[in-house]
Amino acid sequence: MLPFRFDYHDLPGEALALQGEVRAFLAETLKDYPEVKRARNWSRFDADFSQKLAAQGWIGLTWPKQYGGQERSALERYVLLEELLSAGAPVAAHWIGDRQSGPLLLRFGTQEQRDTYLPKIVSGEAFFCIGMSEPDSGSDLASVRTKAEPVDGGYVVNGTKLWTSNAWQCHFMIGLFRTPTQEEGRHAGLSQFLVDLSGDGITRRPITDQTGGREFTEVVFEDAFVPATALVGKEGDGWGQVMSELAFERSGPERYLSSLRLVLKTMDRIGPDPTEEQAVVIGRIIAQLYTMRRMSLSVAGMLEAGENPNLEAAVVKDLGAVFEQGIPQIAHDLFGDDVDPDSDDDFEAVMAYLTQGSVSFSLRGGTREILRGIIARGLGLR
Amino acid sequence: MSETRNLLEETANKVFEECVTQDVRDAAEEGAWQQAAWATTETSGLTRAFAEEEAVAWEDAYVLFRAAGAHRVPFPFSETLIAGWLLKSAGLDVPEGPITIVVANDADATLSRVPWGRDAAFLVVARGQQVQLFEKSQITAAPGKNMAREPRDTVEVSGTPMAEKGFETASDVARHLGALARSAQMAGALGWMLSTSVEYANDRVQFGRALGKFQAIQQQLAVLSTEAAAADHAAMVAFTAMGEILPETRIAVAKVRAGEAAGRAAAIAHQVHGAIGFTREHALHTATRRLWSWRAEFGAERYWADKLGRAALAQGSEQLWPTLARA
Repeated sequence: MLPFRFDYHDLPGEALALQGEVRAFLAETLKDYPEVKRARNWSRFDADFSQKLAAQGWIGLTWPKQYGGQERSALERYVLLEELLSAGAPVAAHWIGDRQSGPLLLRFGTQEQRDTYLPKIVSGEAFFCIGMSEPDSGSDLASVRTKAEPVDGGYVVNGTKLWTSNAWQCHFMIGLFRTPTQEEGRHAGLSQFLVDLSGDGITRRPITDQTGGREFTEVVFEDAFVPATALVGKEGDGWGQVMSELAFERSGPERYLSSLRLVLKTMDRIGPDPTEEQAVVIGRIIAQLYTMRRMSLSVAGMLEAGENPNLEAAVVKDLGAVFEQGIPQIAHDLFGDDVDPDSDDDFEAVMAYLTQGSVSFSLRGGTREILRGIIARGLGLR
Repeated sequence: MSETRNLLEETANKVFEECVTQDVRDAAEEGAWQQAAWATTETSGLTRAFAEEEAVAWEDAYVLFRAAGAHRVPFPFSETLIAGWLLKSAGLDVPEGPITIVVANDADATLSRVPWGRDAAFLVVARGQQVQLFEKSQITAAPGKNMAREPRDTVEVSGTPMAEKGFETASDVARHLGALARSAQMAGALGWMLSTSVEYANDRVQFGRALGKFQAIQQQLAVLSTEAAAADHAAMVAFTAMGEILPETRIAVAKVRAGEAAGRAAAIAHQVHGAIGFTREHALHTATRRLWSWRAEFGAERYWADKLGRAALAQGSEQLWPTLARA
């Protein structure tokens, strides 16, 4: 039998109420928002939009009230994310802080760190990124070399982080650095730090990707001083802390909704009176989409119940990426247009963007091969 | 998981483990009715899950259909369950014994591809707006089969039905019930196929290492498992919403998703098993041939996807997300 557990979860009444509120807000706020920008959805950094969400109280929705949160359930947060993503809202600015950095501080941060940063994340004033990959460390995260050496009052950081999403526009980074250790093993001597990116000795360079987007950033640390108060959790515990965030990172609706705009534009092109072939193609997409949604909701429900569905999250992300990446191919097979990325036609522009962009969906947040390795271990192989 | 569901699953697995051996499956493939296995199952009470006053809830009954698929049960267990539910919903009594079911149009004189049509004690015909019950003596069956060599017979019935009731959209309901049952059976067969493939990969040694140590094999089995998980969840979600009003979208989704999983997963399982999995001597075929057959029964992916696609396109893209989010 299956080594996974996907319990049945439905949305509770309060989540459905929130769903309605979010839809109304987005219909108004994104009224004239162009399709091609919607297609970039959680890659698109828009501080103004994030601040509007913050004004609604929709960042840090589940966090304790003492930090400005609303203490609402994981399923309400799930609904909020779904609605934002399905509408193609530009959520990148606050996404990482809301999804990962805030929860990390709630779990491992000092009281001072929580008091200082959580209210700023909630108010849309502090945007976070995660500094993990390096020029020589991609999937092999444990090989990171950026060093934090203890000095009077703190640490001096040297090294380079690469591919860090939106670091050039963010205020803070949760960085994974090497700290001195007597322990053996590749996972030893890694520590997480909360770094103010405006500090001295830090140079940020955006890197343009093949879609023309500028998410990727190279961040170079040259004798950059970080105070001792910047350490998150315990020195040397970085690896375990990072691993504990993965279910949050991997199971969300962003893992299967990234190509939704192209599904919608494809439907528009087909129109209300399809051929059998067209109807079948759209029906198959719907079957996948609906199943992914239920599985993702199941993981959210398990997180809400305090369980640790890391393996299930890997399953959702892998299935989701395969699905999302299949959409441009399907649209190509249906229409086969040579598309202009700057076209005024929504289908064309969205198609061009997602054809180029979707190759990254099985890279970000853990490559396909890494995820399948995790699943294989769960199956009792290796 | 509810306690009832755990108990049902345990019971079903125990019963099927005992009475559905590989010998029983082999004999069934030769066309012999497996009375002893049927009788053991009927004695356990499982075949009457929907027939009695206190019926089992659909969300719990899911595990019965799934277990039947996992054990590749070679008699009309699922058919008896859904036929019983349809009879009861139409206000008719549910007779004892194996019951089969077929979807028919008003004008159909012959009924095609009736599961175990030659063996069943009773036949439920969901004909247009009628639910009709016939008994064995009224049935003439010309044998046919699916790829798994499960009987799928061409049947003619004689005389008036022993019971009959008007039931709005009976044939449509029966097609949904059949699709729902097959989705769960496929989820079960996929789960069994996964365990069997993992076991084989861990046992079989080549190049001095177990196959399961090779990344190429690990990655393939990981894919098999995600497909099995998706089929399983889609079916469970459909069963959970079952009631007098059918969750039509969920059933269509479950059948499409299970059918897609069946194709991908069977290919991987065979690849991992190599030549031995291609033989009748190894049991892999008892799952893969059923999966290839079941995905086509009660509407293939194409049939259900067409329905889903047409409905969505008629509503327009703006309604897609709101519709899915409440289905």
